[in-house]
Amino acid sequence: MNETILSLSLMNERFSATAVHRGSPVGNWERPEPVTDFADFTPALRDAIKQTNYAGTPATVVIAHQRLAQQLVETPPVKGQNLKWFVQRRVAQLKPFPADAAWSYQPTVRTRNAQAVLLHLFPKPFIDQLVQAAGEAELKLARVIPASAVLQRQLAALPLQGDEVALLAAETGGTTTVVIGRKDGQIYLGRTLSNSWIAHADRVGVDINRTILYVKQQFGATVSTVWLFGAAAQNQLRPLQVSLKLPVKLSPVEPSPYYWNQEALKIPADDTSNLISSEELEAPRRRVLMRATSVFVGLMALVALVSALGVQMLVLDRARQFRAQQSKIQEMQERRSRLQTRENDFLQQKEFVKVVSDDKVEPVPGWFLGYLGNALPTELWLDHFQLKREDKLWRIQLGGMLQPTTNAAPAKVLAAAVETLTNNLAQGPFHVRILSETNQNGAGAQARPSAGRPAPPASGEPQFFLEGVMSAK
Amino acid sequence: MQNPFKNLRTLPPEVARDLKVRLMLLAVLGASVALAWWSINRLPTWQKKLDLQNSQVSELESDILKLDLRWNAQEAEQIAGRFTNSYEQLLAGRDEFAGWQADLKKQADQFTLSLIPGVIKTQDCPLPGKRFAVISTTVEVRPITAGVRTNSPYLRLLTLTQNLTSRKKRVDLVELTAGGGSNSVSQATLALDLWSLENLQ
Repeated sequence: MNETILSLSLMNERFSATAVHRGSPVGNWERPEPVTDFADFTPALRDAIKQTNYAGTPATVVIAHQRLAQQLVETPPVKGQNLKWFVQRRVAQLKPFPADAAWSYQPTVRTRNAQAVLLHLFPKPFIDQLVQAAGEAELKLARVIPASAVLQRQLAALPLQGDEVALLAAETGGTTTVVIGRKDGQIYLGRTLSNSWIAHADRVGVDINRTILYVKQQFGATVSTVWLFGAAAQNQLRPLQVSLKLPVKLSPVEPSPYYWNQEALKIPADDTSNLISSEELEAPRRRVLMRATSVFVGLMALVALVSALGVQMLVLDRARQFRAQQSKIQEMQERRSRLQTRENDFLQQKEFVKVVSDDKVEPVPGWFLGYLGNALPTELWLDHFQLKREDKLWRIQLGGMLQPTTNAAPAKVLAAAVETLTNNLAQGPFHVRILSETNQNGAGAQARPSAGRPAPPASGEPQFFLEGVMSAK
Repeated sequence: MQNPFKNLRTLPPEVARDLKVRLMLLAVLGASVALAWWSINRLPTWQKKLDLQNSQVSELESDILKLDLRWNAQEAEQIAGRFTNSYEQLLAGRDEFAGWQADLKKQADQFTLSLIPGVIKTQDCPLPGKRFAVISTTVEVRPITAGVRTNSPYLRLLTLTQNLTSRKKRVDLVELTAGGGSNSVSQATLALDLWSLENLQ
């Protein structure tokens, strides 16, 4: 133990203080006047601080009080937080006062039936008053411990055998605090008797007797000795021994006004007898954490809101751009559509013009027929003329005879005239390519026969037949 | 199974209040994070929309520029004029075809003409809802022998073919076959394609 703490004891109206600095007691003080009301606790604390020269803030209180009650509670085989929850549910049923209860417990020896704890109950408003008073005196009250929890530690100091069960009673300023237990510190029961042997020794005897019987009944344990501790204990040995019919002895521990204060410091920090709940103890830290968390969350929310606002403005700007761009796109689409339609119309018209006008078949037959009037040699006359369009060509058939002549060699005349004709056709504006040429009764190359060719006349006069093609362009 | 909230009801009021405040803070924190997350995620969506829009604008601008550059107003005007002329070259329908036949017979110039209708071929037209109908017609021509003629049949046939093809309506002379003797044409056959424009059904 190396702490700085103000250890207080409030044995009903008797108030004392021990200041401890880094593990060493530095001052003791007992208030000469009683503390009759918790409302007067603040001045008492201020006096204690002043009188002990205490410079720290932590404080602990050992308490014995008429309203401090105990109950033996059998529990299911649970421990830790589950045991705490179970006990908490029983508190509301067991408290002997209407106000909310501050509670704590001490594990006991197992009863005949089940695991059990000794439940301490104290009106919570009183604890709140103590905590508030400590706060006003600039102390931080960390523990409020029932006197029985301190007294339990004295069992180890008694000269008991291994399994011997003893009852230890202590005078606590108008009440008597009792614990029944063994030397190993395990207890069966603890009680605050409402009388003190200083005023009502007989009543204390009766209550102790009842307590012993109760322990016998619940645990099957027999108390073999009774030990007394505190003021005027020496005087009660004989009467109580007579009353209880048991050996009654004086505790070997020397009583002092600061015993409770000093012994309270030896109780481990994780002891379950503290009447101030861990939730209440941690409340200030929780509040600070909560405040810090609230500030952090508030800042986060603020940052989120600001970012959302900023983003919203950006989004609005983007949306405005989007809308402006959208109308521009619409206009451009309409313009493109108009231009596209204009171009399509143009292309359609162009294609139409090409099909109807540019690809129009030229009146070649008329032209060619007119040209023949000049190109045909006078020695020849035609009896067959055909000009037919086939794909991209004009196919020509010309057939005829030699005009009546006195020439002795009509075949030569025919050949010469036909040659003149073919030359005229080939070299003339139509550029006719002769495919075949037939001269009957005359010289000439026999060419391929042609379909649609007219039958030659039966007269046997010199005849010719030409076939050729020319481009449609 | 034990109700896990059963124990909550038994918590001291201060602890329960603290728990509620913590839950509220957690909710506020969660809401803040969600708000920030949601807000931050909105921007890329809008940026993506704008980028898409910008690329759309660029594409449209490019298209419009191309269309503008391609456009030749002078050529378009010229084509429009030629289009009107071309349109007028086509027969409007069967009634006009009948009128053309009657008109042809009037110009027979001492020939007897026989018109033999042939097949009608259709061809796609660039104009929407229209098609070309090409009416093939054979005209058989024979000279009338009685009376005195100032021109030879050859010259009259020449004139007839030239008249046929030089008229306003498009008539393609795709075949001309003629037969006869010296300085005469005893018969001629003209294969013609008449172009008309029809509405699509």
